[in-house]
Amino acid sequence: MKALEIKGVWFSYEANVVLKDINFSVEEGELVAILGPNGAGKTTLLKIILGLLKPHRGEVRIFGLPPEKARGIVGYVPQNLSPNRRMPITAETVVLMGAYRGFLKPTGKQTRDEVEEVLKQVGMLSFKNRLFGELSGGQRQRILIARALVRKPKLLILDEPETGLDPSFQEGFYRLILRIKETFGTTVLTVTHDVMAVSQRVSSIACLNRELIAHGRPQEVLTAQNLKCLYGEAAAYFGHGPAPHLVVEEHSGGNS
Amino acid sequence: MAEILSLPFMRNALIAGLAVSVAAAFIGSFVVARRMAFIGAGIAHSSFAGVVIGLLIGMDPLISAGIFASLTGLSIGFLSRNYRIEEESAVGVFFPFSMALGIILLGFIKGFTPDIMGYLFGDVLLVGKTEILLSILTLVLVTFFFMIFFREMVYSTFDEETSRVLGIKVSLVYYLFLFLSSITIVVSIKVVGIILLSGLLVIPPLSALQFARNMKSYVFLSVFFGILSSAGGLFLSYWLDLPSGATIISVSFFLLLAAGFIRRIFMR
Repeated sequence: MKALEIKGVWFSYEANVVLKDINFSVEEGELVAILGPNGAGKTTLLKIILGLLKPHRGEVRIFGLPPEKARGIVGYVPQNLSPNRRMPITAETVVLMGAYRGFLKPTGKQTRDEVEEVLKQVGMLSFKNRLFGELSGGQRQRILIARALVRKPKLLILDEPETGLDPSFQEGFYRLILRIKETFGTTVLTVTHDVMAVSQRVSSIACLNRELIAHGRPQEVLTAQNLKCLYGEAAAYFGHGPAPHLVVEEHSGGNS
Repeated sequence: MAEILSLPFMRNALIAGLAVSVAAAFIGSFVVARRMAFIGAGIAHSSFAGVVIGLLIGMDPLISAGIFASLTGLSIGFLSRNYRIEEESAVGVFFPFSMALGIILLGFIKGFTPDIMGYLFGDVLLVGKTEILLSILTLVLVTFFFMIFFREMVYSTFDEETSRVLGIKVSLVYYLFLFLSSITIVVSIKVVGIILLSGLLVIPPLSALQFARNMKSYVFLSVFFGILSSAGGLFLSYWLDLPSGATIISVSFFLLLAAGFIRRIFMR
């Protein structure tokens, strides 16, 4: 079954067209990245998938449902969450937030047990009574993943999850995501501008720069031509060796 | 103590003062957590125009201030959510405008306006049965709101975008909160006054933050510090013959200093 279908999506902020006729789909159980430079419309597309923005044309289906009806099966890890660091909210309460099922539907013992279970899965159980604002960047990211997981999502959406994480933690972070995918069969959609972070870990990549440049397996889409379309530079991608790398041949003022 | 409580005006002030300090502590906890302290000050000052309009047209100033402050609070919310105007900037528009409007309209009131200082700086002698009733009604409304929407308030304060994804009616909760903030501010006017009112909203929650280890303890500690400030301030103002509003805010300020000191010394 298709976990996600994006059909002919257009979106603009006033006269500025941000997304132009986007079409692609994600199979159930896949780990997919939406790759593109800053300003490519990645976050806008994500907001449309989440039902926070309505496309001007086209439609999105999550397991056959429109986004607003699919909220119960979607987990979301936002980018650069910047709450008031002094707000005395515990890690446990943050995860409980993910278990929210509606107005006047209280959280019972079973939900609290589930919260403990996901905290254990992300290795943060001993931090449950700690204040969120007192945790490190990596610990916070784990708590936010636990919050998304407690919904038992069929589709997990990550917005630039590597932002603010040091390289050593990035590796552990993607191991955790892969374990979640394997254990629960969760479909994972991650949005990133970092080719290196995702190229060896995902099953497919959608290259986005206001329009869909390419969609397919990393080896097929990460060509010099596509990277040039994305980053505005003659860039070459090499997938050999222990880690992939991007070589910029000439600079033309774009992002890299 | 018995002597103070035997005086009807002090009894009235104490009942109204405690009711508004509890309501203000509930509201203030989220005003501080949402980093919108300036909005509290803005709504409080905007009620000045409402008070003057009431005095001018012969309406109970508290009712006209309530209407004006609620409209201001909701307008700030509407502007910041629907136009390219930050919340703080919207307050920066309404705060001086409503003060200016109040000052202009004050010139049209014929004769002496002795009450105006009481509204600006608070005067327990102005607290009557109507104020007691309004204070208790406000406390009931605010308590009821937090009993129902506590989780929604906590979640949308922490992460508004994900709250929307989870299906929380973020805007509804936000506007209800702004409306109740406005009402709480207006009924607190006679106890602490327009000028000092934001202190009642902000200082007790800041004291609570020194010790709170979760959101529930934060709100309850805010209420505790609010009650302590209000009762302590009213008793002190009677014994030392000081202005009530200024004494309440001063007590809450010293409680904040003490709380910060205790935290630094004993809770490192």
